[in-house]
Amino acid sequence: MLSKLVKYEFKATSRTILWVFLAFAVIAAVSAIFFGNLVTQAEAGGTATDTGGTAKGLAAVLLFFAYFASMAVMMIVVVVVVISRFARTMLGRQAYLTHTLPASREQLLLAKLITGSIWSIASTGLVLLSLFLFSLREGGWGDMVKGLREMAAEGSPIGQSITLLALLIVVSATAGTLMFYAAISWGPNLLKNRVGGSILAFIILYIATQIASFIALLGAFSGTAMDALAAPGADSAMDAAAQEELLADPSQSFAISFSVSDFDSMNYLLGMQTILWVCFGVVFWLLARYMLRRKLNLA
Amino acid sequence: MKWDFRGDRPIYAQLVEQIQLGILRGEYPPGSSVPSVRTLALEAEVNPNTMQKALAELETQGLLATHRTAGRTVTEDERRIGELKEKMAQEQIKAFLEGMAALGISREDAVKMIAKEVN
Amino acid sequence: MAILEAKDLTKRFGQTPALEKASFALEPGRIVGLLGPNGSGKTTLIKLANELLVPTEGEILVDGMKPGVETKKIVSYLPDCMYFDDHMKVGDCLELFTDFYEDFDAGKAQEMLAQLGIKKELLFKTLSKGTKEKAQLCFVMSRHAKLYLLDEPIGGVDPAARDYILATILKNYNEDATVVISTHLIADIEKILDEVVFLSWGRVVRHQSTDELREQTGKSVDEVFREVYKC
Repeated sequence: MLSKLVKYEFKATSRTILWVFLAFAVIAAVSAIFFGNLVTQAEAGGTATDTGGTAKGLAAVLLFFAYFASMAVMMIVVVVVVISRFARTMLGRQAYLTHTLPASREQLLLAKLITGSIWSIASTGLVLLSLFLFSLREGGWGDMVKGLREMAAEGSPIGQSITLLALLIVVSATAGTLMFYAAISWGPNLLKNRVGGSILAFIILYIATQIASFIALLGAFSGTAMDALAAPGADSAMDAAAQEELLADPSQSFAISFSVSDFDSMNYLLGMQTILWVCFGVVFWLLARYMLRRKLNLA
Repeated sequence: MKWDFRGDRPIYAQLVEQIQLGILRGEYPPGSSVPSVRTLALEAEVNPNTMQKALAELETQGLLATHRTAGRTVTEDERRIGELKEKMAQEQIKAFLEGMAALGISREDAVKMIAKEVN
Repeated sequence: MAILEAKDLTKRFGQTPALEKASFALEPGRIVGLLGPNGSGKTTLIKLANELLVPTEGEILVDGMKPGVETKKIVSYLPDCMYFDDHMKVGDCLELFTDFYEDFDAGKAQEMLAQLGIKKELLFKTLSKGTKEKAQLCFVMSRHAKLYLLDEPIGGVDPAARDYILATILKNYNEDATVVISTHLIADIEKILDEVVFLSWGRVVRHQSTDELREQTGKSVDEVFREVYKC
C-alpha cells in the first residue's frame, strides 16, 4: 500500500518539479562554464578592448543573477508543488477520494512525507552540486570551495562537519516538510478560512521553533563555555583573556566559545540543530496525525 | 409488458396483480418460462427483493411453479388459470356495480344498460 | 451480522448536534433509503461510516468493525460532490481504482464507460455535470463491495440520467451487499427501496420496510415523508 501511495505522489508532482530542476541545472551548467571565464576576461580586458570587457562584465553579472534567480525559483516551486499536492488531496476536493482509500492516515502522511522530503533534499543537493561544479573553475566561488578542500586535506574535522551538515539537511528537509503538513492540517481548525488558518498555523509553528531553538542553543553553548572554563589545558582551552571576558559577561558565551575552536563548535552546533529538528519533526508528525484523525474538517 | 405502479399500495401486491394480468392476457402463456427475478425487477424498475416476494406469492397461489433445472414456469394447470380469470372477472363486476351504485343507478338498470351496449 | 449498525450514535459540531442517539441496523442484501431534509444528519451519518468524521458519543459499525482501513476495503462511497481532480483523465482514475481496490472490476467499469460513450483519454473537466455523475457512479458500482453508500446520487441531474442511475443500482444488486441511498427526492426512487430510515434533526424517527409502510398508512413513502417533515 505504502509503495503504491508513494508512486502516485511522485507521479503527481514530478512533472513540474523535474522541469524546474532541468532549468536550474542548465543555467547552473552555463554559469559554471562561462562565468569564470567572463570574470577573468573582463578583468584582463583592460583598455584595449574596453567595450568588450564591459559587455562581458555585464554578461557575467546577468548570469550571476540568473543563477540565483533560478535557484530561488526552483526552491519555491518545489515547496509550492509539494504543499499544494498535500492541501488538495488531504483537505480539498480530492480529499473524499484520498480518505476513503483503504490506507491508514499514517500511511498517507508517510507517503507524502517521503515524497516531499526527497524533492526537498534533491533540490538542495542540486544546489550543492552546482557549487561543487563551480569549484572546478577559476573564479570567486571556486576559491572558497578549494580552500575548504585544502582544509580537509590538512586534517581538520571538516569531514565530520560535512557528514553532520548532510544529516542536518536531510533531517531539516523532512521536518520542514512536516511543518508545512502540520500547518495545513491544523489550519482549517484554527480559522474558518482554510488558507488563512494554515498560514496562521505555520506562523505559530515557526515562532515556536525559533523560540525553542534559541532556548536550546543558549543552554547548550553556556554549557560548552562553562566546561571549557572548568578544564583549562584541554583541546578547546581558552586563553586567559578570553576567560576573563567570559567571567565578566556570561552572555557572551556563544561568541567566545565559537572563537575557541571553530570546527568543534560548528559540529556541536550542527549536532544540536539536528537533534532539535528531529524533535520538531516528531512534534509536527504527531500534530498532523492528530488533526487528520480527529479533527478532519472537509468542505 | 408495461408496468405501472401507485405509490400508496404495497408494490409487491401490485406486482402480483400485474403478473396475473400478464398470464391472463397471454403474455406469459401456460407452461412458458418466467424470466429471472433480476430481469423482471430491472424491467419493472423495482427492487429485486420485492419482485421475489411477489413471485413467491404467485407460487403459493399455484400460478407459478419452480423447477430445479428449468427455473420458474407458468402453471399448465388450465383450471387454475380459469379460476384466476373468474376471480378477476368477479372483481371487475363488483367494481362496476359499485360504480353504478355510486351514480345512483340501480342494479336492474345497470344490467339493462349492458344489454343495450352489447347489442 | 448487520452490515451497517449505529448504536446511540451522536455527533456534535461544537454545540450543534448533527446526529443524536441514532440507532438502527441494516442487513445485507437490501436497498435502503436514508431519507430526510437537508440538515437532518444523512450526510453526517455517511461520513461517519467512512471515517471522514469520528463520533462524539456512541458507535457506528460496518460489518461489525469500527470504520478504518479494513472497512474501507468493503465500502464503496459515492459522495454528493465530485471527488475527482478536474485534471485527472478518466483512464487515470481507472488505474487508481484498480491499484488500490482489490474488489474493483476494471472490465465492468470500462464496459459501463464505453456504453456511456466516455473515452478514457478525456479529462474529467471536459465532461458535463450529468456525465461526470454517471462516470463517478460507474466507478463506485464497479466495485464488488459489501456496502454501497450513495449520498444524493440523483440530486441535480436530468430525468434521463436519473433513470440510468437507478437502473444501474438495480442491475448491480446482489444479495450479499447492501445499498444505502441518501436522498430527499423520494418519489423517483421509492419503487426500488426495500426499507427506509427517516432522519429528522439527527434522530431516527422511522425505520421499516417500504411495503409495510404503504400497507400501514395506505400512502406512498413520498406522501408520508411530506407529512413527517411538514414545516
